[in-house]
Amino acid sequence: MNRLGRLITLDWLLQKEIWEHERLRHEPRDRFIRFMNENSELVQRVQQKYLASYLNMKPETFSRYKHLLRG
Amino acid sequence: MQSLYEYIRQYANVTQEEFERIAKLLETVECGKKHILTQKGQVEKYLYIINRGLVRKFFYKNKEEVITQIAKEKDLVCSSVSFLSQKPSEYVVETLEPCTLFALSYENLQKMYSWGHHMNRLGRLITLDWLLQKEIWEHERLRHEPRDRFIRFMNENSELVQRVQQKYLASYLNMKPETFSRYKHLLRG
Repeated sequence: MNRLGRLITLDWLLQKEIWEHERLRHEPRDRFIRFMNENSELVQRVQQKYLASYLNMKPETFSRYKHLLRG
Repeated sequence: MQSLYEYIRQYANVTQEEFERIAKLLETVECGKKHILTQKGQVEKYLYIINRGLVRKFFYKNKEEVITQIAKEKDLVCSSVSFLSQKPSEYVVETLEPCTLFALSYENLQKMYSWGHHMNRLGRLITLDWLLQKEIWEHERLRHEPRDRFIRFMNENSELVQRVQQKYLASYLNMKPETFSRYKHLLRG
């Protein structure tokens, strides 16, 4: 059980590190495109204002970027 | 090595005998400042525990260096995602001062875990603490405006302020060096 706990905690830490890197590495515009491409399901299920907050941007910025997804 | 024993004992009751067994798996690394421990693109081989000195971890955003960790004595440092996944590192790990480090290789860490639940427990508690620090720092960074972030950090890390170049502290606090300089008057008086 200690091994199980260790491995779960480790995976959690890894996801955290990867998301931190994602958020610091990319400009808001790229963050938006990457996220929307990789999480199309969440985009259907979660209100835009919540997604904007998670992506550390204003809801207006989020709306403004939406045209990037069309076409 | 005594300081390392104390470090481990914060997390779990480890007997002197067990500690000696662990200590045999560690390599002592002495290096000067500005020594690159891990280069971008290399797979991280070691987890380091700092006995003496300072180490920074950063990545390149275009040509700009973005610092995500400044580690001091008794801190753990490595290119963690690379170490844990054994994939090439996105980060560079570099010393800021002459350092004495205890290095634990990925293979030796797995060996320790094979000793049984006691070592897995130690690993779990250290990993958990690492995750907690990370969550707290994330909250700190998102919660506070740059000005408050600056004041809080400077008050709580007066030692680092003496030891680390301002441009590195600014990067760690996610602000421009000019902003950092501009805030310095807040500390006087």
